[in-house]
This record gives sequence, structure tokens and C-alpha cells, in this order.
Amino acid sequence: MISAIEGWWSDGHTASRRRVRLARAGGQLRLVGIESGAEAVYLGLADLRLTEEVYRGQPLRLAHPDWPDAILTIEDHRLIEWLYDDAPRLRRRYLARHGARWRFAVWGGALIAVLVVLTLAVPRAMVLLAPSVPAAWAEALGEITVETLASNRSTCREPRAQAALEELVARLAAGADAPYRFTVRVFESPVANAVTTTGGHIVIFSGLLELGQTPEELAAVLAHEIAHGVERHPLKALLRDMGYRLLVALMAGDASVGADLVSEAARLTLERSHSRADEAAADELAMTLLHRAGIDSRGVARLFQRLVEQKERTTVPALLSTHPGLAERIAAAETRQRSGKPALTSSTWRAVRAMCGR
Amino acid sequence: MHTETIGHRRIRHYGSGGELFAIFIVNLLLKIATLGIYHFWAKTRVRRYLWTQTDFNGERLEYTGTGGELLVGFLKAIGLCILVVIGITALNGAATALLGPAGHTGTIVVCALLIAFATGAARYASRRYRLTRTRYRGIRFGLQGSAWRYGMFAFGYGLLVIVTLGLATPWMRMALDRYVYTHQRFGSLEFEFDGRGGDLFKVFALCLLFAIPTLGLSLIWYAAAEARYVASRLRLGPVRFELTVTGGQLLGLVLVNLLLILVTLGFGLPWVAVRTLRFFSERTRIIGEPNYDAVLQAQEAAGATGEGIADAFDLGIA
Ligand SMILES: [Zn+2]
Repeated sequence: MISAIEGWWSDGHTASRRRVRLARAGGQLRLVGIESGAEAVYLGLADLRLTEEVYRGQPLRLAHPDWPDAILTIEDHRLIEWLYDDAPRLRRRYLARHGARWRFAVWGGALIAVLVVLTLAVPRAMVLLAPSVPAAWAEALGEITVETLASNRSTCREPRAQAALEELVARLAAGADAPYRFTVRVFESPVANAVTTTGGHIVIFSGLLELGQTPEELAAVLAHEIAHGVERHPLKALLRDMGYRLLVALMAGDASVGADLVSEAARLTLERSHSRADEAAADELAMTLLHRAGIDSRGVARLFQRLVEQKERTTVPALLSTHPGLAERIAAAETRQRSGKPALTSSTWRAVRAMCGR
Repeated sequence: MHTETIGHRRIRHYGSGGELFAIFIVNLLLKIATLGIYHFWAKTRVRRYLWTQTDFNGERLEYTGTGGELLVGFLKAIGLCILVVIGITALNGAATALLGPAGHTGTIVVCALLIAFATGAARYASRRYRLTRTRYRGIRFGLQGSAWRYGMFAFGYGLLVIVTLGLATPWMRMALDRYVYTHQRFGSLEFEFDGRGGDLFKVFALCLLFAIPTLGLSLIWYAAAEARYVASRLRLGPVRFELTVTGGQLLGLVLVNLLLILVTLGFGLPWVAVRTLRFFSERTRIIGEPNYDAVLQAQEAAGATGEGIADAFDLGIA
């Protein structure tokens, strides 16, 4: 029996408070005024609750539904033990059993675990959606992307060269089971790069036509981009990105700045390894496509070699920054390469190289 | 009651950044788990903590709002917004059909007016919600008056400030404060406020004059002067208030807070909240004491729709 727990009682009718002594009377808590001889107040233990979460060093404050607005303030935390068995609702907000450090460790650990799981799972789950995205949507989105690129660049449209490029793309794509028809467009740009958007729209920047010395090197690039398209890598990258954005949106609110940065860093790290896997897969399939079309596949390693030479001469070229790990890729290409038909006749190749007016 | 000397500090904030941070973490977890719906309960939980840690003469404040109320208020606010958008669209259609391009411009003006006015009204309603959910010694605070009237005041004075190129700012601030404080109550005890913009004009003009050479920092001195003035003009029955914050102290608070947020990438927010509350508590003095026996509970209900509107527009009211 703990003796002499005292507290302050405000009845919710006036702002006055009086000192009371607490005693148990059956299933009730009896409050008896110490100074005044006012009537005792009885509070049923079963419905007694804490008005807020209680931390260490904080007074206990109790409320009871029979006394709306009334509040009983008690400094002595032994009250919890004293009433533990008969006032179950008192335990609910009582957090003073553990210090802040304990709570911090438990909840912080839980948060980190959840974040790690979500960061790994959400983007992967989003990628799984790729096959169920209708081809028409992917194509429409890709068109918008190409138009955006086109808005500040001029398109090279020489008809004979364009027809030759389209034919080459069709020859290469025939070797794969593509979900959509590939298109190709050449933009005037000094950058030696090529990209594929969702829906199989291939974009070539004219710097690439100057870098490649043979039509087989161009065919190597096209086969690689077609392979990305067949594997739906652009759509998957997009979905993955949306997954990260979704994560950030989920975390935003309390610590959005930090959450943003952490998630962005995670995205960049993971995306690099993802895209390396994608590149390897695209190289693999590209080689197969070249062989199915009967085209000389020695252009792949030769083009990579040129990129290495260009890298040695200048700062990092564009194709390298989006297509990392060149040395291994050359080695992989050389083990599978074989001779074959030329990709274009020498006159059409000249036309293609000149299609941007150089 | 002269036993309480002026030097005696009677507001204390006991909050700890660590505890608040733990609450933030739990809130974040639950928000992720509930796809963000926990936001309203999270807000309530934070407020309950901050209110409880605020001690006023040996007794702490109590926050009685609930997350459910906030959610309902938010949904009502969203419904209201949808109705307003439909109304505006209809108005725009009718006005454009009748008046041509002038009708369209008219609708845009009406929209701008409506937003300016609704922002003030939402701020007032949100304050009412928080006050009616705040108890001290079991007695609820309250805010009478009309949120729409306040919105109109805020809007009208806003126009006046624009027309006078900012010179009317002290009058606007004091008029709005007067409307708020003269309608604010602690149970049956009413607040009184007799601040006047004219008293602040000299210091405002001086700070405005130095705003350009100090890159606006001089306005922090005005903010401190205004806060001191407001406190000195506020009464709650026999209770008087005194704030001792100086411009330099306020600047220090703001700079350190900014630095804390930047260095910790935003995770320092709980510490910033706690140290800000502590800063003001330490600099507030309360002189005199009400006759608590005579302060009665007053009945007043207030919905959370205003709070919901504030939340929907993210007015950032903690
Ligand atoms: Zn690639």
C-alpha cells in the first residue's frame, strides 16, 4: 500500500484547483480535499485515462468521461503502479518507463528498416508494371519526348538517307519480338550520342555519324538502341524513377529536405548499377540482332574503340557518360563478333553521313 | 497579488528536441504506412506534446484536438473548394458570354479577391479551432467574432497597405491584432487589447528606412518592437504581460534556427521548434494573477473547417 499520493483537482467548471488526497474505494478513486471540507469526488478506475503521452519528469494528468473538462494533476509516478491492474487505460499513454534514447533507438531502427525496404522494393515493384503499360501509352509518351528534343534542334531530313536508316532499323528489328514499330530520327548536334525513348523512338545525334567511320558502326549503335527498346529499358527507367518520386512524396512533410536528398542519393547509386545491367543486356541482344540480320558485327568493338580514343583525346564524351564500363564491353563484343554483310552500300552510307549537310 | 515579483518567470517550456524528434520519427513511419492520411493525427500528436510541455505558473496547457476532427475539417474544406471552383467556372462562363474578355478579367479579379479574403478567414478560423482545443486548469480558451469579418478586415487593410506603399503596415497589424485579442477569452475571462498603429509608426518608419542598407534585417528589429508592444497592451482581467525580446536576440534566434535546419538537412526541425518556444517563454513575464475561482467555463463550439482550409492551402500554421 502506497500512502499519501496527492494531486491537484480542477473540476472543469471554474479555473480554481484544490489539493486533494487520493484513496482507493473499491473500483473507484476517491479524491478528498485537504484544506476545504468539500465533498469527495469519485472517479471510476476503469475509465480513467491520461490526457496526453507522459514522458519522464512530467506530471501525470488524468481525465474521466463523467467529468468533462476536469483534470487531476499528480506529480508522483507511483500512481501508475498503484492503479496498474484496475485502471487499464492509464497504461496507454504512459511512456516514462523508457527514456528518450530507448524510444529513439527502437523507432529510429524501425524507420530505417522500413525506409530501406521501401527504397529497395517500391522502384522494383514499379518496374514489374512495365509489361502491363499499354504500348500505345508508351509510344505517345515517347513521341512527346522526341518532340521536346526537337523543339530546340533541327532535324536532318534528307529523304534518301532517312529511307536507308529506316530500312536498316527494320532489318535489325526484324530479329526481335518488339512490342512496337521502331522509328528513327537524326538531330543536328555535335554530340556523339543516341537515345531510345519509350515506345521505340530512336534518336541519333549527328555527331555520332561523324564519329563512326563505317556503316557497321552505325548499325552497332542502332542494334544497341533497338535492344534497349525491345527490353523496354526506357519505360522501366521511367517507372523506377516514378517509384523513387513516390517514395519521396510518402516521406515528405516532416523531414522533406533530408528525405529528398537521401532518396536522390540512393536513386543515383542504384540507378547506375541498374543501368549497367541494362547496358549488358542491350549489348548481348544487339549482337544477336546483328547476327540475325547477317550484318558484320565487328563494328561494335570498333565503335567502342573509337570512343576510348576520343576519351583519351578529349574530356568525357556523351555516349560514355550514359554508357559506362567500356573496356569490359569491348572484350565481350570481341568474343562474339563475326564478319558478315555490310550494313549499307557505300553510296547510301555517304548519303547518311552527309544528311546533316556536312 | 504582489508576491509574484516582476523578475519571476512564470512561463516555462519543458519540451526536449530529442523527445520531439522521436515523435517525428513515429509520425513519419505511420504516415508512410497510411499513405499520408496519418498527417492529421501526427499534427495533433505534435501539438499535444508542445502544449503539454508549456507550463504556466505551475500548471501545464492541455491540447484536446483530435486527428479525426482535422481530417473531417480537411475533407469539408476540400468539398468547399470544389464548390467554389464550380461556382467560379460558372461565373466565368456567364460573364464571358455577357461581357466578352472584360467578363473574364472580372472573374480573375473576383478570384484574387476571394483568395485574399479566404486566406484571412481561414487563419482566424484556424486560430479559433486551436484556442477552443486548448485548456488550462480545465478551462477552455475561446475566440468569438466572425472569421469572415476578420477576412474582410485583413483584405481591406491589405489594400490600404498596398496603396500607401507599406506605410500603413503598423495600423494593419494592430487593427488585426485588436480584432483577434478583443475576441479572445479564457473561459469567462476576456482578453483586452488597446494597441494602436500610431504608437508603432515611428519605429516602423525607422526600420523601413534602414531596410535597404541592412538587406531587410532591420525589419527583425521592428518585429521585436511590435511583439513587445503587443504584449504590453494585452490584458487578461488583472493579468498583464511583458515581453523582453530585443531585435538582436530575435535575429540570433532566426539565424541559429536557419543554420540548424540547413546543417541537419531539415532533421533539426524538432530542436528548432523547442528552442523557439523556450526562447519566447524565457522572455515573457506575466504580472498579476486572475481570480481563478471566478473564471467559469464558457460554452463555445468550433469546427475544424477553417483549420482544414488552412491545411489545404498549406498556410503552415503549426
Ligand atoms: Zn545503352
